[in-house]
Amino acid sequence: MSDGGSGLLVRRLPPRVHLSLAALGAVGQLALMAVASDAQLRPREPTALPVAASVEQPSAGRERALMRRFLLSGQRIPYYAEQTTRIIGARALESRQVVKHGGVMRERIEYLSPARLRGEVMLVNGDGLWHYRPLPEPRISHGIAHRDAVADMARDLLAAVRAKRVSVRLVGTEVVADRAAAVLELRGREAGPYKRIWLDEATGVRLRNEAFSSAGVMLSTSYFTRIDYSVRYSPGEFTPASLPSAPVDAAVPASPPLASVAEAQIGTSFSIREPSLPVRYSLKGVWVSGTGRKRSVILRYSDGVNALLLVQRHLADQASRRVGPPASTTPQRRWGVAYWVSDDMVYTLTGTVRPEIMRRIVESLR
Amino acid sequence: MMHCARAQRLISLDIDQRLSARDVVRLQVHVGACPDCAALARQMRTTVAELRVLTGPVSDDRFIRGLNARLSDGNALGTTKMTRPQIGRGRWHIVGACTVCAAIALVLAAHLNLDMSARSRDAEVSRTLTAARAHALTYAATSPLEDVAAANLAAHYAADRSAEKPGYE
Repeated sequence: MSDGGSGLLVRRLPPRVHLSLAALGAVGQLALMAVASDAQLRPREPTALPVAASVEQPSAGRERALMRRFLLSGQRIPYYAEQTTRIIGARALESRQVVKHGGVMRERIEYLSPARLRGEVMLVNGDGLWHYRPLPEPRISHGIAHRDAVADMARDLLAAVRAKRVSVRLVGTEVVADRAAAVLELRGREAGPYKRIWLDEATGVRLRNEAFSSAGVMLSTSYFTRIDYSVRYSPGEFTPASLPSAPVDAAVPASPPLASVAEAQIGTSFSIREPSLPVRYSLKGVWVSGTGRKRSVILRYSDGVNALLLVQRHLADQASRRVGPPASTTPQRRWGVAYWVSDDMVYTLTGTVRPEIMRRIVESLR
Repeated sequence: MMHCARAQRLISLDIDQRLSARDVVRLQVHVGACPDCAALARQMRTTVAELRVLTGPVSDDRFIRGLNARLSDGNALGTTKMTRPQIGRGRWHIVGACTVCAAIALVLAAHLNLDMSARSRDAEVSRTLTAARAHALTYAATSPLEDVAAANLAAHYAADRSAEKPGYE
């Protein structure tokens, strides 16, 4: 048949063909929508971009915006990720974990390797950290942290950035776990250990982090190899009941944070000593654990980027007798914690410090 | 060339006439050239000769009487006359054994006391370290800038006994 007026040949298509064409059109439309959606989550930027190409506003504003996104919305977004952790020291160590993040103070890290860590679970919820270790015997240790701990630290960090006690610098962009990430370098006011964090430009989630010594030597890194934002978790995923059954050690510390060393001194049988530290460190919290002669005092210091935790405890009478050779002033290390015994007191220090600062701390506590 | 150590062994065998002819000649050559070994050979021959005066095994009493006789003649062993003690030797043995046992017991007790104190101190240090590790991991797990996975890995593999190196070891 033909349309005499236009000269076009018009065919009347059978209904079956109409349906087929309509279906094809619908499928094509859906495909286009999916591509567009995927493009939003997975931009196809190259691996490394020059900084100028990714900066849309003055540098300081962009860096602070990234930090705010990281500390606020970035903590709330649920995701499922696979992570690799490396420590570079006397020998390189590596572990792989699954990270399930359900929001602020809702995270679960399950260890896949190495063999001695396989099966370990670190569960963070509103009560703090529940750490399940299957070896050498199944046990759960509980470290108390109050619900607003993350929010308080985020607020302190943003305040430190505004006051320029902490410097934040955009040093590049990279792709991590198929996500475009901005690389921020954070340093304290003086020369010291520093950190780099890779933040998902779209969500603010931290995809990678690296810790450096004051000499610029990388000490450790953790990075996602895969991340999925489309997960949904059940409420029970982040409760202690979800852990394997095991005896639970007494919670540490037993008290909420105290306002000052003077407040901690009340009820403490020994004189609490404060270490001599570089001026960039300030006291951020005091805790006491235990009672009477078995009391431990925990002091936490921070320069905004790095934290130092000092624990001091008086040795019991029978244990404090001078036995064997005199206590060495050179701290020993166990479980990543430096410790030494001096004047009937045992001290432990966790954190990254240069050797001369460690010596200064030990001398000041004698 | 024979060494002195070997020569000294051969001197003893030579006195007992247990050397081969070849070794006798070699020994004589060495002794002729080595004043120390020559003096040793003379001393050993003299000693053996004196010991040969004592013929056969003697009882304690006979030995003492003979010795006393020689001492009374004012020989090189001195002029003090040794007399056999009147108390039985068995009792002195018992006293000596008791003294030794008491000394051993005292040493063991002191050692145990020190050991227990050291263990008690080690237990206190371990408890403090356990608390420190738990607190550090809790802080790392709740701080946005910390890496709890690295902290836990370091805690498992801490091997370095010195705190001279910064960071995790």
